Amino acid sequence: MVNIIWFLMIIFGILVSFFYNPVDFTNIIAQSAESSVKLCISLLGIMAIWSGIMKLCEKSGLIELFYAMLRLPMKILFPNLENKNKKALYFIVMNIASNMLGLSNAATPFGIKAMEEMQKINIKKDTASDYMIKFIIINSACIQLIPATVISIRANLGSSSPSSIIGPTIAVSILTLFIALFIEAIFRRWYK
Amino acid sequence: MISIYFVPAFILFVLIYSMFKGIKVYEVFVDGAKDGFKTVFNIAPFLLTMIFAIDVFRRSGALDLFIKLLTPINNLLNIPSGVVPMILIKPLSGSGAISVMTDIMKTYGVDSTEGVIAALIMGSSETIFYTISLYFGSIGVKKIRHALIVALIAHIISCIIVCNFIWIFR
Repeated sequence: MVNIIWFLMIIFGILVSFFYNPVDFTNIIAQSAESSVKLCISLLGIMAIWSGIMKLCEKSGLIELFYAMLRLPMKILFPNLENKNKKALYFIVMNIASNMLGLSNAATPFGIKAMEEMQKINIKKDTASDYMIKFIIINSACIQLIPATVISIRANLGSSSPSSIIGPTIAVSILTLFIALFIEAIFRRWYK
Repeated sequence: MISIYFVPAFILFVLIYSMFKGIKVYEVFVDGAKDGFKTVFNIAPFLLTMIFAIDVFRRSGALDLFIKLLTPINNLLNIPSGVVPMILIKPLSGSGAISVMTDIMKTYGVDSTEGVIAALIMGSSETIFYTISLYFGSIGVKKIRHALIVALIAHIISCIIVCNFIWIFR
């Protein structure tokens, strides 16, 4: 899937530029590479700090405390995972909680840790497990209690009520989540 | 607002709780930071590869052409033509989506239908390509099965619903 999409994006890109809109490809490549490296360098520091805080949460048992609060929805979303690898659920909870609070930099280390724990109980190591897919799907709905970036841009552009977007955003996120979970349940049968 | 108070309060709570539990906070933090560095090195090639394809697709004009080709379908689905770039860019690029959203708000007005739809799309969906290359890349999973297709279909359906029922929110 990713193979095909990646391939098509580049092929279409190059073909379109040949026939419609000649661009300086060398420049695009150089700038793209540079922006990726810049992104990684800026990720290095912030990821290291949040991974440090994450390790403290893990070692002190704080994540178990947070997990206890969200145990029921997690048991419904990830059936049986609690018996197979409880640690994975701890990190999933921390990832979802950080995302909800809009701390995407904190969410990433927790998310990666959750994936690592789910990989430990995965039978086919090169293939995504059902749990991983469900986790990605939940992440893609991006439930955020306060969409801070959107609000600040709206405020900057002179919206009459910048924060009135909060309620509708949460409603749409929840809607997207349910649609995604429903489609996932259908597609799961075709992608064994 | 939340990050102004929440982040320091959270770190304070974590540190005090850990100290109370007898954790060597400094050593454990360093240990975690090491993991953080390793993670970024692991995911860097995946990010670069994905961002490369996205940049070629966007900056060659292929994305714009795609938007033009989709116009008849959008009219059928009642999607305002102004927000189509937003629907297409959001799964690909977070920073791209911010600039497209700002652009839409400037062109149509921040409280216009288009502006509100763009804000809702921005806040309610994730940069799926980035998330998938990051999370699956970090653990070396190559066959992602239906993860991407489900996330994309859900994104599109939710955008169509938002465009058609935007009057509820206004």
